[in-house]
Amino acid sequence: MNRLTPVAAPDDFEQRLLVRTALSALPVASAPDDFEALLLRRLAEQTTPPPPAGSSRPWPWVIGIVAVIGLSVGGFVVSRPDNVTVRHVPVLASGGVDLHHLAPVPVAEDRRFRVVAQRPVSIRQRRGDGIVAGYPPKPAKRR
Amino acid sequence: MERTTVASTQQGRTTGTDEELLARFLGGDESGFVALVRRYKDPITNFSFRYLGNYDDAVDVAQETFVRLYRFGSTFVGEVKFSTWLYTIASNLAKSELKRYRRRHGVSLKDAFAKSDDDESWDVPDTSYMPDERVDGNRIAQEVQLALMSVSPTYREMVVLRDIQQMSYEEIAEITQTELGTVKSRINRGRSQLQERLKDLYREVFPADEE
Repeated sequence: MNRLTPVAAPDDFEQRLLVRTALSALPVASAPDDFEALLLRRLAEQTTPPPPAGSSRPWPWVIGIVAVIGLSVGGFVVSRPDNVTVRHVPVLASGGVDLHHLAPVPVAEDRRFRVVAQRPVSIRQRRGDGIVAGYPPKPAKRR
Repeated sequence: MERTTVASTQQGRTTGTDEELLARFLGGDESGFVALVRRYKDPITNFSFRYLGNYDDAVDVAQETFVRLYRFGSTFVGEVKFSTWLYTIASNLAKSELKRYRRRHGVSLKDAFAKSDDDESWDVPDTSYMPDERVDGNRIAQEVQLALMSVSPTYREMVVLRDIQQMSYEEIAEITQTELGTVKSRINRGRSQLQERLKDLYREVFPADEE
């Protein structure tokens, strides 16, 4: 005796079936008769070298961008104030020197800061007694 | 690399697996390329058309797909099937075409905020679709394509690959670079959206029982 409950199709079974049947029954959109000829022409166009630069007209949007930039710069120049303060700033002229190939020059020692440049002397050395705060003085070395 | 001319390969060998034909093409024999074009021009055009809804754009995408194959075929490393690789190219180009189309025609603010719940990109269905009678000659086909175009593109792509191009879930996951579970859930959501939009057609085809 079969005790399994019968499984019924869902309520929208026919609707789902219609969708799938209708999709699979759609006519095939075939390629046109001249598909291969068009393809060969397209391949030929894409494999030939492009025309030399300047032989074709630039795109309109390039012209537009150039025009906008030109107008902006023109407007800035026109709206500039008449009184202009000029400040002369000293400029280190390179004098046409090639910085990568500099000729050797004589070097002189600058003695002005010699005192300052001396090495710092420790307190013990300055006092010369070898006394360190908090420690007994060391006995003098015998020579 | 010197190739044999295309004209001389018009009646070239078209047998062999996709990978063999590609290897022949990469070896300098253009008959391999021609054979691949003839094998896949209709499926790729069909996929692009069902996704984009515009036949001319679909043909353009299909052409560009083969141009990419011609130029970058050597980048195919064989990790996936050749057909999967080719569909990935077509899918990416079709998505770019859709973005361009939206930039040209603009997207309303209301539509722009109709963001998909599991996708970071704006996922806007196409509401301006006009049926193309060159492909969909009968009314039912036009209605189905119209409903398809009102489905979010993310779902639409997967529904087209599954229910029209008859691809496996695994292939779709490879093509769309999406997790397998996400592919299945998106296909279900796409079908549900279609089901909602094809209610009238359903009532027409399956009339209610008269008590």
